[in-house]
Amino acid sequence: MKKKILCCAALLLATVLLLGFLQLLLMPKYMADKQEGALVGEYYRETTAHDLLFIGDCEVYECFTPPTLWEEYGVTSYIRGSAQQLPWQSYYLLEEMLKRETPKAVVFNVYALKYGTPQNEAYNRMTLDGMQLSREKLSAIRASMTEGESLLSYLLPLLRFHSRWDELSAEDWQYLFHRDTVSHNGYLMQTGILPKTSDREGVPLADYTLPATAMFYLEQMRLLCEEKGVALILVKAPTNSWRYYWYDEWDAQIADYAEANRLSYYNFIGLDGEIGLDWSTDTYDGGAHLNVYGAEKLTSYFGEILCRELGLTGHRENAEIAAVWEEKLDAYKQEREKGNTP
Amino acid sequence: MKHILCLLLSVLLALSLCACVDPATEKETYAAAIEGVRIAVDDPAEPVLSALGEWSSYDESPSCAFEGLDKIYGYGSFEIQTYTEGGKDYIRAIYLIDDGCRTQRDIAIGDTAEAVKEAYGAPTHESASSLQYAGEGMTLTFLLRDGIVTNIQYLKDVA
Repeated sequence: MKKKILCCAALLLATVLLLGFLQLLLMPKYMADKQEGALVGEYYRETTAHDLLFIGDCEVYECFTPPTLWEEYGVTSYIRGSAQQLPWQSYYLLEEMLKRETPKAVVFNVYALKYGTPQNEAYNRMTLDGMQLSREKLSAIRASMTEGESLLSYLLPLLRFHSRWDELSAEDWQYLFHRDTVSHNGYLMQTGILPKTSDREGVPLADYTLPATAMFYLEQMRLLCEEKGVALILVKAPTNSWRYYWYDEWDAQIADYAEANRLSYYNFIGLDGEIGLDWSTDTYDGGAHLNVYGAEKLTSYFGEILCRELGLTGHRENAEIAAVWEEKLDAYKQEREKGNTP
Repeated sequence: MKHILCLLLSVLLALSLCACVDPATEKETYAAAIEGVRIAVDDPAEPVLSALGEWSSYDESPSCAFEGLDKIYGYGSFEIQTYTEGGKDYIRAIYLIDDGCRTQRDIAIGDTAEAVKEAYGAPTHESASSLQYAGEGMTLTFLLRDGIVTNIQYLKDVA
């Protein structure tokens, strides 16, 4: 009898180990390709707290550089951005982060407020798979699932990715048990230059009302920040290409919301002169996103505003924090110098 | 007991490794017919672009994180937007932007909302600023100002 139990236990263990191994192997690694998928998970590697947390879509992780905020102002920050991060995902990521730390302010980029419904599983995965298992992750999954997706496939990604066996590459084996750090505190560096050549505007819309669901989660973010004593600052990145267009009608709704709730809202569109942006050199993809040169200019400009508004004085005198951040700054400068243009 | 456990684990393993069934492709309901060329959302772009000839304006934009570009081709009275999937371009949207071209049911910019309803029937969604007709995987939208059509859009729905 004892032998039978031992056999069963061994069989069970072997199966669990095999399935665990397969899951590690088959899940996308987001290292050489689609590095955006690695961003959310990198937050857990942080060892020190932050003055500022940024949340939002590509417009945060491509437009603001934490190492620049440190270098110029001694301010510590982290960008918890991800590709097409939807408002409910931002909310649950924020809820998770505010359980771990209490920053002076949270900066939320408003572009994704245009979305009122789940959009795309591939983007969902890039945000949700990187979250550690928590109540917030479960809530984020439930709010994000598109038709045909299941909660179970997020909890056991093998159920979703088992068919990747014929796409496996050397990267899947190389990063079976570990991941490199691809970002600089959430900033994904782009050193290429592709000038903006088009001023095409977005196509007309049938309805310019920002979706109620999106505004609900913005309100939840505001209430959460208020409860935690954290300032919520709204921003719109200066990028405004035809495909990712920010309509004046949307802007007016956010400005009204900010005013009604006494929040600061900074829309950087059209402030190229003040910021110093040059669209012939400061974008890597024709104006949809900023490259590192543009992001540094915007960060420098916004950093001054943040320090003034929040009374931030920096942590350069704190040896422990300074040591951590000087190392980060060094890694940032090395990548910047080396460049990462394909 | 042992047999049941073995069976259970085998089934679990088999389920986790079985191949996915690709979702069935949806057939479009509405198509535009412009300059004798039939254009439908999700159709391959290459034959359409070849048939239409030289475009008068062109812009492209990358997506966040994923490969491929969204492209928009201008032809004066209308524009065609494409997306990339599997290395191939497909029609994402068709925009009629002036009265130089008409829909297959003979509606053009400048027509009234009533004319649209006569041609297309009751809309799926109606507001003061638009009439929308849901097709399979796409929506045909007539934008209105003071009851007059100002823009016509054939748009791929969000997947």
